[in-house]
Amino acid sequence: MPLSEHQVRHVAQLARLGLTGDEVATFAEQLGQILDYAEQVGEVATAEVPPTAHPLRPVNVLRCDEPVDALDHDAALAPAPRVNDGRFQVPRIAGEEEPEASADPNSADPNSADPTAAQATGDGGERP
Amino acid sequence: MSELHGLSAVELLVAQDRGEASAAEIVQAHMARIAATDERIGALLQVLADAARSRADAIDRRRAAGEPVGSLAGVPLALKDILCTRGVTTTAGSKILKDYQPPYDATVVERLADADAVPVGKANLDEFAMGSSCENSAFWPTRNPWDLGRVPGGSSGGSAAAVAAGQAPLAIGTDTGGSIRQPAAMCGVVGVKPTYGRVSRYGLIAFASSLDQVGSFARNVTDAALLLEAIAGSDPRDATSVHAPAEGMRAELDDGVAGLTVGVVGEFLEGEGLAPSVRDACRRAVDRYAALGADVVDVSLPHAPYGLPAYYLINPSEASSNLARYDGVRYGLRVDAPTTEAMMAATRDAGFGAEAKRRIMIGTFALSAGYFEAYYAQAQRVRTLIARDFEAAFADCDVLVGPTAPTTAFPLGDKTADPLAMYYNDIYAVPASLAGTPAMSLPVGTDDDGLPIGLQLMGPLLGEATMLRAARALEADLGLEAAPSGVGPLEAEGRT
Repeated sequence: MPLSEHQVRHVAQLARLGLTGDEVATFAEQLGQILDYAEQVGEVATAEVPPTAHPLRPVNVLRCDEPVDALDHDAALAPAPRVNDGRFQVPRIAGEEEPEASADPNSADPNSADPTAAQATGDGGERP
Repeated sequence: MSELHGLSAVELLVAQDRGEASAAEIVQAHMARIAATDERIGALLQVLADAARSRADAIDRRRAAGEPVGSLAGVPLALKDILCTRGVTTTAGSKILKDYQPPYDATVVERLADADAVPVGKANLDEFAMGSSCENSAFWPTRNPWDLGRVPGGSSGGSAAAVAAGQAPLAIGTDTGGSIRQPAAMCGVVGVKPTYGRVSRYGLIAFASSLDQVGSFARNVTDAALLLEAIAGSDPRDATSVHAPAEGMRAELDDGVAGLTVGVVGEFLEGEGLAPSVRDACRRAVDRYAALGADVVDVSLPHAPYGLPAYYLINPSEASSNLARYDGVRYGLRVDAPTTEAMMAATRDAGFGAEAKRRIMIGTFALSAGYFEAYYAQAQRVRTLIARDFEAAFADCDVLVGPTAPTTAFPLGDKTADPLAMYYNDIYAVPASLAGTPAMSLPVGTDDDGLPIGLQLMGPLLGEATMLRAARALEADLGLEAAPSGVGPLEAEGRT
């Protein structure tokens, strides 16, 4: 059964994928077909069966706690599309959802000295 | 001696030992072969001519000085462009990484350098290894050296085609649900996916992390085993890598199959949609095993038919998670927009091709609230049952056999409009991926159109040595150990 265009747009939003109108229609059809096929897994009785992620089921992979060379700061930044002052740069994040609020001095981002460029460092910090 | 580009890796090593050829001459011969063939095949996204020549010169100097050289010294090799090479563009076949220069080498790349192998090019692939035809490459589709109107298979289509065409005797590929085995079958070469965890994935651009594994391509079993020995082994930088000795892949190669039990997988050989030519070639191979003294028995993997449905939940779920990192912030493409969220959406829309988007969408849906249990968790439970099926089969058998792919190579464009039809290519490859067992494809003949057919061999966990032994015995019996397979059709067409 095809997904609804509303479902496709919702999933695309979750995945941060901008889709064109044509893509929405095509994916509604194709994702429906693929999920119908994949739903066969529901026919299998699995009440007592644990899930598998690693077939050899390793437990507690340990290594010696010794310092080793890590990736150099500049080398790690080199492939980034925008860098500012030794950090990854993204468009302003604070106030993104409510542009009017930025007129209110009480809601200004205390961490951002430059109102045009909020900065994020490291994994995960950049998602609004 | 035949032309250097027609020799196997072992033959090239012997030729150097005897002083009959230098690494520089070997690299030169393969560069000439690439120049003569790749405009039509499109196996390589990037030719590493200068780096290869200087590496070859250094190996020749060390050899001349009596210094030790590595196990693959002076042997040219194609590297699937999904393994990070420091300072050398690594695209994963995607526009989103079109200009990405990794700041580090993958462990596999380091081990190949330690072995003195000579990478001659970075091989084309389906974008992020998602596909079975190499047509999902953002750059160009690779063509099958046996018939330029057909696909080489995928996702490691460039690696398979490069080896088949004599551009290199060896290639590195990756296999998540058949991406080494299926193109090996379609290009008439040997392709080995080792046990999950055998080879470090540090520096491998991640696709579906509970399935991804690096492996080898070659034109014969011995070469494929030699390459595997060079890259296998645990790595502190990959916690999923297995602590098992890397040596010994070739230990049993010439022991023959007398006394081995070969299990013929009924669900594969009686499968719907299996081309009669492929079924017949596999049956003949099974008959040869009996003639060579193996005990041939029928076995069942009762949950195998649920492998492909489970795979198409697990794989997209993990892919959607892994591909979340391409957001225009740390590397790769960025499409500017006023807000961060709009920048990410615009970047990902412009950077990902249709199949990557499809998998991100399926995976995001399958992992979303309310669906996780019924989809991803259920698929991982089915996976356990498939692994138990294999375990039960290996209680009685040393190796399992069946077809690698349901058909021989199909025409370009044949399946691009129908994702499910493309996915069916992996129906026999996926169960071993889910079980994590080693599996490989061995050429066992051709169909009426002269297109290669692959037999799939599957071994128990960490049982590569016996699987390779069974493959080597059949290879020797069939006498298919061959010169570059693409030579005939290419030369018939006239080389430029």
